[in-house]
Amino acid sequence: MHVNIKEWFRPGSVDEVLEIIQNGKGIPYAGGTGLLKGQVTGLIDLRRLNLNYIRETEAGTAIGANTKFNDIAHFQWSDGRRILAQALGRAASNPLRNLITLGGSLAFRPVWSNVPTPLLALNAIVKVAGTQVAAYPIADFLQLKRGSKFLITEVLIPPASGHGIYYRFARIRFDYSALDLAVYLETDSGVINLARLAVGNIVSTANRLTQIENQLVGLQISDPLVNEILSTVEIKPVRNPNFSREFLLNLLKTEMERAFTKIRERVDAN
Amino acid sequence: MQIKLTINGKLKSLEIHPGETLLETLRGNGYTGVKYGCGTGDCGACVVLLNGRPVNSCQVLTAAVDNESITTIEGLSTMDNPHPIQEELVKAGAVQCGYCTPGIVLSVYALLKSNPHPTEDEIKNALDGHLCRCTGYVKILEGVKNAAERAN
Repeated sequence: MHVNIKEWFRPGSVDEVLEIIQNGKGIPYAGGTGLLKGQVTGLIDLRRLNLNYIRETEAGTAIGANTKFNDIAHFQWSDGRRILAQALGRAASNPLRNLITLGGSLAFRPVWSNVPTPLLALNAIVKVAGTQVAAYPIADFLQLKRGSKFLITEVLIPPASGHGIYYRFARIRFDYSALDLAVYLETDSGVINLARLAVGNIVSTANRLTQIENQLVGLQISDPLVNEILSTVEIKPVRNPNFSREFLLNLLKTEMERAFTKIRERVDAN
Repeated sequence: MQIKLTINGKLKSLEIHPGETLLETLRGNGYTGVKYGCGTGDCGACVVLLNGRPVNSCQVLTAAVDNESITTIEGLSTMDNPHPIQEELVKAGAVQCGYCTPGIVLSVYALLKSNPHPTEDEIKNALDGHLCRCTGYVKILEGVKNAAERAN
């Protein structure tokens, strides 16, 4: 029982939601799984906004903020965007994936959601409505302060004709992951044209390994130099009670190499 | 506050506290097949079907599902007329204390409805939100496979 909750709002438009947020009367209730007791007195039911959808558009696949993890995980992704389905299909548990929403996870950014990492590798765009409507590249969005007074309305995933790999490491499947990694590559005749490597959980805010990415572009994916470059990754893992920093960094390097091997096999097979 | 829920096919008008969880509402209205386990969405004892999909009722505020449809274990079967999934779990020795069983049965029911021929991985995926500390999972998997075979 959340005894502190006194009021529910059921707005029919984004503007009405924003008014309630700006007036400090309540916060949006998305999946509800991240709601802490004593946090708020008013909640905003978002169901009437119809933000539960996955639509193909010219700019990519648009996912409504209220779309559940399982809907995204079971969607028939046709290209490298599958890594998003892989990530969300492994987060939390099946009954929770029927509750947790993409927008709620981005707003709250709990450690278990594994949302930011694949979105970074896919260069997603996060659309928000606040004092004005804005579309943020995911990397910029992740720098915004949590709890800002806006509403996430949609996430756009641009087409991804290349190959992607998603990896998640946890002690047991249901546990918070200690490391997650998303690798997305586009190649032409075996030459890497575009590389996006994103890591999460091992660092406090998921981010891209842009220095490594820049060194990889222009190399043959089979070039031994690729593994050498991957082994030079320099990050300081956040403290984890179960794993040493050395272990996590070595794991990251190993899994990056494995991801490149898998992608190389796929490129060779085509 | 007043809300409406369709529980096991019957429309109910209920008076609830705005911060009440679906687990509390259901148990308070006699649906005691919904079990309180961890209260944090980890164990799956409280799983019910929300519009046909398994959810942890301890993680859902009742006011957020106003006008939606809920299925509890009482909606699938009675003591005299158990559901085939329950029968197969019993036959496989997958039930001991039985506390986790209602949630598991509902998750399996939802799985078989959408996927009548699940692979072992798909069964494991569907049940990844359920903890059982009595029988272990081998017997549960066996019971689910037998239930799927029987339904087909």
